[in-house]
Amino acid sequence: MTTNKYRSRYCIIRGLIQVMVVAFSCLAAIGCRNLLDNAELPSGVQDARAIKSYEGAIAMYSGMTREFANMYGGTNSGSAESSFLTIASGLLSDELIYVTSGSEAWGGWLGHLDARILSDESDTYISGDGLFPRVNKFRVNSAELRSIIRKYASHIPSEIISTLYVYEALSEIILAEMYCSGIPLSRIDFEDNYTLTHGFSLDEVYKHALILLDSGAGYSQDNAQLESFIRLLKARAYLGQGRINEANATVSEVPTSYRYNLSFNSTDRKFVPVATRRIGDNEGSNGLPYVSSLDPRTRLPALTNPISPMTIGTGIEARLIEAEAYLLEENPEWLLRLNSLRTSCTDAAICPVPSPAGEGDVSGLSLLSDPATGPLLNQTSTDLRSRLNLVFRERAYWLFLTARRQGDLRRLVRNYGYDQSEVYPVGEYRAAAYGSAINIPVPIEEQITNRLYTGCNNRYE
Amino acid sequence: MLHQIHITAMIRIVIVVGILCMPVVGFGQGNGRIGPGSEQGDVGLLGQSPTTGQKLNKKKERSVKIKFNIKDSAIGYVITQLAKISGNPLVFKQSDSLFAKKISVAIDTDDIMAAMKTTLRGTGLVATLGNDGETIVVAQPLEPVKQEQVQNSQKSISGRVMDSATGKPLSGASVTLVAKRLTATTDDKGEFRLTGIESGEYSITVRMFGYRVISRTINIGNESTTKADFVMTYMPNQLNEVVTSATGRQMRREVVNDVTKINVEEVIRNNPVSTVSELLTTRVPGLHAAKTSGQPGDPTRIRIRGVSSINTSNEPMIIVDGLEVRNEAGAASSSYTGNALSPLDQIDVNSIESVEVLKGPSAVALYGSDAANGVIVVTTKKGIPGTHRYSAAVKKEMSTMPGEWPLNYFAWGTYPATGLTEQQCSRSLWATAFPCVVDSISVYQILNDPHTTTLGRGSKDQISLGFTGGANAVRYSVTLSSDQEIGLTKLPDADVEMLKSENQQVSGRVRRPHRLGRTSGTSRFDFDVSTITRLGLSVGVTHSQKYASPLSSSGERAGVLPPARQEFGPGGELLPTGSGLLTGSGGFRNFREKQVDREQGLRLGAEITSLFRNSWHTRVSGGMDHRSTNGERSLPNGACYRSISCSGVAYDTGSMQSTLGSAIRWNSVINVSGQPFGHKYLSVTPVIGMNYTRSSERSYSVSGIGLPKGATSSDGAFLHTYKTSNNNRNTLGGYIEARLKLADRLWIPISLRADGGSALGSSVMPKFPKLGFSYVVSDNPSFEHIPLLGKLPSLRIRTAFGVAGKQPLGVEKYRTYNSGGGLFGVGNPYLMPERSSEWEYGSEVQVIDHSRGSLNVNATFARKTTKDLLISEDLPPSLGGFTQQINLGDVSNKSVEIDIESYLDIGIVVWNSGLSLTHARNKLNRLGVNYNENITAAGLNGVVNRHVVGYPVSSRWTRQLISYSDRNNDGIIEADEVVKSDSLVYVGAPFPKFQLNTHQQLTVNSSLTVSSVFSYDHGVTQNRGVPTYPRTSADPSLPLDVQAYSAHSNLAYVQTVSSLRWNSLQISYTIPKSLSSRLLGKQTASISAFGTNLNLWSNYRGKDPNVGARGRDPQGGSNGETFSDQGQLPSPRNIGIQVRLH
Repeated sequence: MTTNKYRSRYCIIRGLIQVMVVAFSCLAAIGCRNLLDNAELPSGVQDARAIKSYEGAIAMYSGMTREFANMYGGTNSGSAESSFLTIASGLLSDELIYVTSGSEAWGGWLGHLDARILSDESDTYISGDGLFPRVNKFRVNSAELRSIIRKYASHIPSEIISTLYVYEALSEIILAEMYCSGIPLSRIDFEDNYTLTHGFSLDEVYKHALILLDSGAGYSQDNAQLESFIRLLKARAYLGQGRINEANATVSEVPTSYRYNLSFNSTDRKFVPVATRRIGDNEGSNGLPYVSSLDPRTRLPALTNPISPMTIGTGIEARLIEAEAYLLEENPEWLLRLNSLRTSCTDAAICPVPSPAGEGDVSGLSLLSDPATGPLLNQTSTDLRSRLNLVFRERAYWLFLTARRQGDLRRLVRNYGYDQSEVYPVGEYRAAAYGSAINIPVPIEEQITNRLYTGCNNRYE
Repeated sequence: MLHQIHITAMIRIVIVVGILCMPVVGFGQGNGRIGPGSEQGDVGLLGQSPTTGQKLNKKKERSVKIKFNIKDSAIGYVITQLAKISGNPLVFKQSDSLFAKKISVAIDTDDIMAAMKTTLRGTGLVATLGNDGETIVVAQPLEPVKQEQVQNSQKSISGRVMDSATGKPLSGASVTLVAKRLTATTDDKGEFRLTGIESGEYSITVRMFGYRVISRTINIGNESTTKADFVMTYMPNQLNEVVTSATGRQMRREVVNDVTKINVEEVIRNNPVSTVSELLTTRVPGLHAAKTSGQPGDPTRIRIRGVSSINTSNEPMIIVDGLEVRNEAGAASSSYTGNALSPLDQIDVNSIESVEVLKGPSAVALYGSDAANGVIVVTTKKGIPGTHRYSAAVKKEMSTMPGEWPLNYFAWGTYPATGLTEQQCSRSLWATAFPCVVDSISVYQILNDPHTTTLGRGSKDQISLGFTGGANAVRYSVTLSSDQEIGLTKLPDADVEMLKSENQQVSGRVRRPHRLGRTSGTSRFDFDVSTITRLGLSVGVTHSQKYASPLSSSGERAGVLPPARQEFGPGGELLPTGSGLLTGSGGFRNFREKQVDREQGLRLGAEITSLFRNSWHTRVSGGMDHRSTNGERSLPNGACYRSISCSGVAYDTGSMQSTLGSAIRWNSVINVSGQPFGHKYLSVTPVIGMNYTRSSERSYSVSGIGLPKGATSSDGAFLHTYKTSNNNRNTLGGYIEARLKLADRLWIPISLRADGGSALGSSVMPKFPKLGFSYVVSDNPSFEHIPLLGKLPSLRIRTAFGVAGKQPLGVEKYRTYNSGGGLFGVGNPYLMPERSSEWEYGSEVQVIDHSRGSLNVNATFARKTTKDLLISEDLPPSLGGFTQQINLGDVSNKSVEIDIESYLDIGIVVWNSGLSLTHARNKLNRLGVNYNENITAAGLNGVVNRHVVGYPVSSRWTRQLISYSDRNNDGIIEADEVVKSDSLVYVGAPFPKFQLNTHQQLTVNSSLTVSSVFSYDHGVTQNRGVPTYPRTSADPSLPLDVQAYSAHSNLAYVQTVSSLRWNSLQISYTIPKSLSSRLLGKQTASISAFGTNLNLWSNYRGKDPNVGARGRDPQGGSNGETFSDQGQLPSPRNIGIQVRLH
């Protein structure tokens, strides 16, 4: 009996071990591939297989929207402030003035941007977190996600594909407005490596953006909201190229009350400029009096509400483009367009004053049409420059702190023949003087790492 | 009949196992010593003889069926096995070289004496039975051990041999009566018996592999049996010590690498050690340990043989009871308290039997693709058969911060350019654009003022209980421990008073925010399922809770407050400002913000060892290590008291973040070693093995801002953000090894491992080879005529070469996406692991081996080269600012490690001494990309860590002081009056070049022990990041050159340091046995008083040169191995008492 028990137990153990050995061997022989196909993922990163699905694509699309909003308006953590489009545009133009805070030394990159003293070695690109890589990340992301959708989520609403074309085009327009001519449009190839490019001229970049927008229109499914935004962006690209008539024709169907909002909730959203940077007021003697004019459109408070929508396109811009076009046609309609905006936009609820950080305190819009406080424009001068200045001033106020001002000043130089010293801040800057930069050079890191890139074509274009 | 069959089967198995064990554990050097028993052998089943502990009567012994076939085995070993089987005492002259002679014999008999006769046929030896009817005497017919002696004498000596630290019986110890040349070997109970002795005084020597030789004089009186027990002390670095390798346990002489083994019980009994990190610090040559900070629970950074990797972790692998446990801060880690809890320190030091440190790729090649940084092998306590025993340790200690803090000099003045007056002048701020004209200087140090200091007195209580016991077939060991620690940080008394006066609630947690609580239980059960199969089960449970406040690098802790101009009284004391110190500056928010990391750990392991088909010794183990974390950071609504800014956001109504994490690592290991084949001069032992590890981590976090009053969760928050993550990582590998043995003195292992990891994908299976030799020079007649060499008791030389790897951190090979923002990583399909290869040369010399003293020297030179470094290369910004990991460059580490252990027994005083020296050199040989070379403007104004070819990894660079001039003649050298070099110059490395540690222990009369540890290191270049304002930056009475040094602020903070630290002193008194036996039975008791961090002699201008953490430390990151005290709390000084029962 004892022996039987012993034998039984012994056999079980021996059998168990034999089974384990065999199991291990089998595992090794046939299971290696499967065992090793899982990968460790850092925090917050999705398995590529999760993204390559309908739900994954939607999640990534949503995330990109958030990233764009952060790049555009700012966050309260992490990134350097020059990484945010509205700040970079505001500092380089006359919208914002750099104010030394307690923890910064003067002469840093923010100061350089404000002083227009910029070289390709300026610290505008810091550890991959500068404005240039952020805009480009958004650009290559849009293309990547389009590819994912085509292959793995083909039944996704085509409006999303259209929006991705729009996002990519918008990124290119931003690059063309902010950076020197000679912009590389490298791409990350879907399910492959990457392709580097040489620097493209501004016209080439705008042209490419227009192609993307046309492609996006093809997927818009007659979505009026989306199509209006495409029209606005196409017009913006045309303006960049100096094709004002095409711009005018493109936006004619966009209603004044139109608005394109990005909506999402985030704990880290923050519109930084007004919180820590001073609003410009006759900066460099030729800047606009954003403060002293007491114009309600420039009285956006420090907006930090992380749940308010971000307006990145409005019908107001369409009317402003029309005004500019009519002016060049010497059509008196140009002034009427400007004044009609003033009279109709008495309430932010019905007139979409754009804001990078949501709706601000624009309750005083009615003052714009009040003869006592904000008389209607009455431009009697026939001088084109004077009239242009008026149009661009209205653009500056209506589109205040929405990253349009830098593009506008640059257009004045490129397309209207202004000297940079006529429109950009000039004169004494602290203990030194303003520089002459009218754009931001592509960071030197591009030359170091991209063998095809040789630098800006022209710093003053 | 059934019983007979049972016994026969068991005997057969035991003999086979014994034969299998013999070449593995090694037979003696021809001097008749018997190999170790169950405690040392790889197989370890000798101790499970069915006759163990049994007293079979003579008749039964004779009738036992003995059947086996043995080849090429020493006579001494064979007859010992026969005697063990039969249960007969055996006497033979072990020094006789005849017993080392190899024989081959086939036995099939039921008579032990017939078996002996068959065995000894033709050997010149005969076996006879003593007149006690049991003792078998084997000798040459005319040798001194006469049969008549045995027959005429009725006297004998019997007793037990035990381990001094654990009380565990030692099996296989050799007990020799020198005068009579009689030797007996202890059985599994540690018992021995020498018979055939006449009355008189005899010297008895006891030897055991890995233990110090002991000799004692025994007086044999008229009694037939004299009792004599021996307690042996573990002695590391003996050639016969058993150490761990990837393929199992081997004797040190067979292992071609240096392995440091720490007998934990021995250390913690005589030294104030509370954690595994403390255990390793100063005790392992080639290991550098640096504390993150002096806060409770903050981890220690451990680097073995330098830093090899730039982008991946340099932490060693941890193996507990054969299974790899988590040693990285992954997604599931909770680090709200600044630093995640150290996985190594979650292992209760009281539950550990030994810790072995395998240092480099040459030692850990077979551990595979994650082992390049070395392996720490932890073995928990095993049960001791016999009566149930318990042990207990109660420790209470108190912590203080030693010494005064450097004074801060605050310069006050005006900024003419801006019109600002009555301002605090700053050297780093506006220095160039807006010079400050100093009009006065105030001197203050918040931490030196009892009323304002944020540092108080900490405490730590520790209690540990251990139980062990069992029978031969089932043994158990259970250890339960609990630690409670309160850190030094406190809310200053001044603030407490002020808050009370305003009727503010100041809870205990706010007053003392830094705490650590840890409870753990560890148990191990060993079952002898059958005579050839053993099952071991181990369970470890931990629960830790670490509380902190976000003071880690803030001014409150760094001692740079107050920032505003202060008024001082006539005694130099700070006058009250009416707003409180910390409350007035926002610091109170730091105290009210709760940060807690909780971690529960469960480790389960099972190991089955068995003999498979009578030829293959099989070890199969599996288990899991599960960690669940729960962290929380919360700032209550209302914490921004007195309108203090709460980071400038609108939602100052409180916030809460919490994370739930879960990490589980599954392990399975199989190792099979075969029977050696070959002939007596050359044999080969084949070993094969596989392992599979799967690591899964999940975390779920939620953060909310805008909390209702009194909210204790984020449920009512105004805005929520959720985040989940799920990480998996697998490693699968296999290895094969051939262990060559030549003439019992030369061992050559040749092995190869193929390993795959999910970070690389299934298409990549890197290979890791290993080769080496170990040659025992001593005891070789060929060397006996060589002066000195021939006299050495023991000498071994060894060389090893091996390759190990380091996988990428995670998904660098793959294109990855982030649902929070799109593309996350571009990926690199050609990525390979880093490969570290190492050559190691070394020697162990026993210079003196005497019962009164010994001296062992272990010297090792290692050269490790890590190729294909995993480096993040910046991709062009036009791709979106991504980096891509590539394999490029190489790093070399050279180290010389010398370990000297000695003891001297001069009667009532025994002096143990240990000295370890390490000289290490690290150099980046090749890089190939502009990695970390782009110096920013900020970098040019500070001390930067760079990876520069020709210099150590993460070397420190700053601009040089060229000249200075007091241009404005104000008597002060301003920052803009100093001329610095345009480029950065190398100033040092973040690791010491030279380390020297020494342990000294004096034992008086076996009851009073004084132990002390000193450590010296040289060459750490510290970045004293604490932005204090030393006198040199503000005091015009100082010479200009001194001021200039300070004005060049980089130099004021960077410094190459030499430091000598008095690490610990412990005085222990062990209650005499006569007293303890009456009070405690078999238990003994000791009481100790101890102190740690007793003094520091250093040229460092900061507070503590050996504490620091920044960047990736201690678990890794992307910026290399930076190290800086940067406001970290220095190590406190602890004093305490401890009572131990064991």
